Amino acid sequence: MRSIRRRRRPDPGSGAAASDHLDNGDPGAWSATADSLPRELLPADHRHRAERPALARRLRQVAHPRFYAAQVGEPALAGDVDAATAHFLATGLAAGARISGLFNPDVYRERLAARGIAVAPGVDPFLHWLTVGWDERLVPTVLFDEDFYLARHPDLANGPEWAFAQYVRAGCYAPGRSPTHFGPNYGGVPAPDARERQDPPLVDGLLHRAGDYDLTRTSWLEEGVVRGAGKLAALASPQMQALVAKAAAIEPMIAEPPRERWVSWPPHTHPMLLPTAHAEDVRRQLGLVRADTVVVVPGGTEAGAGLTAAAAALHEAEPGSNVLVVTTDDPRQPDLGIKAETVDLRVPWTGATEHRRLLGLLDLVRGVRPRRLVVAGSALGWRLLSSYGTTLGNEMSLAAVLAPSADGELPVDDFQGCFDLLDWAVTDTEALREELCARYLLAEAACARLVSVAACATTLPELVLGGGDDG
Amino acid sequence: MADVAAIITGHAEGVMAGLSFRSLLDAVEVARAGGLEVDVLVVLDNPTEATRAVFAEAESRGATVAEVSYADQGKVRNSAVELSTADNVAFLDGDDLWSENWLAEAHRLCVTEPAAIAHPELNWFFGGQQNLYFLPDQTDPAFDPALLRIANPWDALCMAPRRAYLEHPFTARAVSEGYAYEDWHWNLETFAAGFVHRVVPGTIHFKRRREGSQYVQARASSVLTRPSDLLDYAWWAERDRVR
Repeated sequence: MRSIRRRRRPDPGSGAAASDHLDNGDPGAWSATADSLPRELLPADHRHRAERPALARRLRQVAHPRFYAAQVGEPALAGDVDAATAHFLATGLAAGARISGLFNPDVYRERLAARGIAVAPGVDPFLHWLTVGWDERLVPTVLFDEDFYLARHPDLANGPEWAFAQYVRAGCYAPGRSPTHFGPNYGGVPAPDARERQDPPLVDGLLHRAGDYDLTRTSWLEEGVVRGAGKLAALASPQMQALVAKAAAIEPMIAEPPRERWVSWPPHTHPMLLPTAHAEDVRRQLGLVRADTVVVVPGGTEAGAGLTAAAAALHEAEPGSNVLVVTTDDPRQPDLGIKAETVDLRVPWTGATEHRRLLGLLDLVRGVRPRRLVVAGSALGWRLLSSYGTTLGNEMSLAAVLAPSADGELPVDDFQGCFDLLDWAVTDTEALREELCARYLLAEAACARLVSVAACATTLPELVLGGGDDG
Repeated sequence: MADVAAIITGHAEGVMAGLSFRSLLDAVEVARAGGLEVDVLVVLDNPTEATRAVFAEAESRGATVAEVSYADQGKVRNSAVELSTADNVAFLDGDDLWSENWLAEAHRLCVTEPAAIAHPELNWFFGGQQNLYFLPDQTDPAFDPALLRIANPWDALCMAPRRAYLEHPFTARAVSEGYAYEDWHWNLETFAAGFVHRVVPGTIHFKRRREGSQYVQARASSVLTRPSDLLDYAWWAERDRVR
């Protein structure tokens, strides 16, 4: 993997001060007088730059507070760029902590040495990179392959900004943008304010199995890319080349140069690794392994008349059964008026794509093997039914609670997409039930599967116990 | 009893199957040169005339040819296992290729570790995609088996003891009922039963990616694996308890 590009070498005598005026960034975002870089840890011929805003801006731009906070054991710093950088300069730097997940001291030293430059004793390697390495356009991490990135984004090659600087500033927050052959560094859907908080998705990969690594030196993600790069390099061995050539002699398409080649290798660089970790977090947090009924709600809202009535009727019909309430959009649980176990998917799956959140819900639902699944107002729950309802219907009874939205709209899309799969559905009102029966010309048997709140107590136990939920 | 049954399955691959068969014969030659006894079996499932024609002279090359009518890859493989008698069974799809060292190196692993299911180190995709997929080794401490609940890290083109296939036959595909991914399910079941999925360093499977493949069709139709203990939280809780 080649990621070092030499553009310009600063004049050792000048301290490369010219570049101090070229950086992008908000000049007002940093107070040099309050947080100057420690002069004594800078390269000797760059100490006069210690208080220049450009260096401070670089430092701030590359900072990843959540990554830093994990190293120094200060969770409160995780969401505060300024506090994290100030803490870094005050104590973390001297302790060897990394303020940026995109700086690795060992990688930097190695790549610097390849250019015949060394970090002098007493000089901090990170500050050396901010002053010398940045101007050298030296990428100090295995998590960014400049050649690969430029091949995918050729417009950057002639732009005013160094490709790595662009990645640090913007690219690492872009969903799915891959800086190496190994994928997007666990990119999912960055939180809306991820860029403001400087919390790119790659931090999740850096902190995965954090307890197994000295984060000041390396991380799960970095180790994975290094090992993956080793596997790629091994393909150049004479033995592997011969095997490929032999196969290509049979099928020439094998040797065609790839237009674009992705490399995936679990356990480290697989798109489903972090979803797996999220699923395991949920399972362990939940604790229980069985639920008779799983109710999927958005969370953060009242249960509503339909769900409350359905829960009461189920409890009446099966007083000893356990109910698990799953929130998908807000961890605040609704009060169903009955005893229920709860679990939240919103927080552990933050940053995941809709598809992966769906896989998380699916893992939970199949994991606790319920006899019954009830979807009540959760868009993700409805998607579970519409995507996998056919399969799940073989394994459990499917049901739903139908209620008009806050602005009074009927849930016709959900109803149309899923009613055929449902053993029963409760409507918030009798009027809604009648409207649905009339709108879809439901036959008597189908209409009987629609239960209004008023009829819930009497009708639902019969539907539940009448064989509809043998799963 | 042979050491290895090298089985190629075909359906509508046409002349492409000839390339796969050549690749298989190369691997058989290398394995035999290393002292292994290898049976070659061709199992054609409702083959097209073009595919059948490819194997018209297979018996003269030492292969046994069988035709079945399942329209289901899992059932075809189960049937092939029944037809074989070798200690270990290796499958090749009729449009993919093996690196020529596959049978010899995979067998070396299987005899060393009787519970091992051998996978290639690398799946080299060609055709519609040109990606590389390095398969995981279950014994790698970094490997989290919970991945099996979310994704399928291995495919069925492996070498396994014949008993693995007999004790855990592939389940039937039933897309209309919402079930497919029988190879994923087989991996779940064999993992739960104590078989160990290992990779064989320095081996490659060259896999043709076509839009019409069964895998691509399954992905597009929102199907799932059949239930398995490995999808059950109770299995994982017990695993946590004994660790």
